[in-house]
Amino acid sequence: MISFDLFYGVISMALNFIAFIALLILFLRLRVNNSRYSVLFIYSIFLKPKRFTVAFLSLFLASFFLAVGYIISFWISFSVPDTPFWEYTNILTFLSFMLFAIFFSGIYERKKEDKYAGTGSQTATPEGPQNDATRGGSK
Amino acid sequence: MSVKILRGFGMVLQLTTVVFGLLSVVGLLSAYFTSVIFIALAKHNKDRAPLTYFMLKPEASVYEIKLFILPAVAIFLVGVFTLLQKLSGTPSASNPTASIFFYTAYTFGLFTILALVYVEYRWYRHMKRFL
Repeated sequence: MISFDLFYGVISMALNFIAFIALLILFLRLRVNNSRYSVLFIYSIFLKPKRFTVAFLSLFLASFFLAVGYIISFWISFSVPDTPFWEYTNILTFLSFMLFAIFFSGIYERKKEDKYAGTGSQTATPEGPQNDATRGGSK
Repeated sequence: MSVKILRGFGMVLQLTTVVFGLLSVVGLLSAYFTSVIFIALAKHNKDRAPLTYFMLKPEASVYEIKLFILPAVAIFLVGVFTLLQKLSGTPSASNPTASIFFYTAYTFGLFTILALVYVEYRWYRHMKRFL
C-alpha cells in the first residue's frame, strides 16, 4: 500500500509533465512566424471551434477546483494548519489542466495532418498574399 | 510545518492560511475569466464570432497562444519539486532539504496561477465583448 503523500507526488509529477510536454510541442511548432503549421493551427481553431470550447471548459474546471479547494483549506487552516485537503483538489486541478493542454494543443490530431501533407504534390502552403498584407499593414 | 507570522486578536495567523487565502482569491479571478471565455465561445459556436480575431490577426493570435508556455513551465516545476519533496520526507526544522523543496513548490505554484491569470486576462479582453 502506497502512502497518499507519495501517490500525490507521483501523480502530480506525471500529470504536470504531460501538460508541459503538450504545451511545449505547441510552442515549438508555433515558434516560426507564418510557418505552415502556425497558419494551419489558426485555421483549425476557426474550423473546429468545439475542441477549443472543450479546452476552455476544462481550464474553467481547473480554476474552479483550485478556488473551491483553497477556499475550504483556508477555513480549515484556522484550526488545523497542516491540512492536506488541498492535495485532494489539486489532483483534480492538475487533471483538468492536463486535459486543457491536450485539447488546446491538439497533439492527438497531428498524425492525420502529417499523412495528408506527406502524400505529395498538393502541399501548397497556405501562406501568401494574405499574410504579407497583414504584415505590411501592421508596420 | 507551520510558520506563525502574526499574533494578535486572540489568534495566530499561519503562513499557510495567508497563502491559501491568496490562492483562493486568484483562483476565483481565474474561474471568472475562464467562464467568460467559455461562455463566449459556446454562445457563438455556430457563427464563430470570437474566433474571427484569431483569423484576422494571425501573428497577434499566435503570440497569445504561445504565452501559455509560461504557466506550462511553472506547473512542470511544481510537479518536479512536489515529487522531490515527497521523496525527501516531511518538511521540518531538522529536514531542511524537504523544507526547501516544499517552499519552492509553493512559490512555483503561486507563479503558475499568476501567469495563468495574466494569460487568461489577455484572452478575456478579446472575448468579453461577445457575451
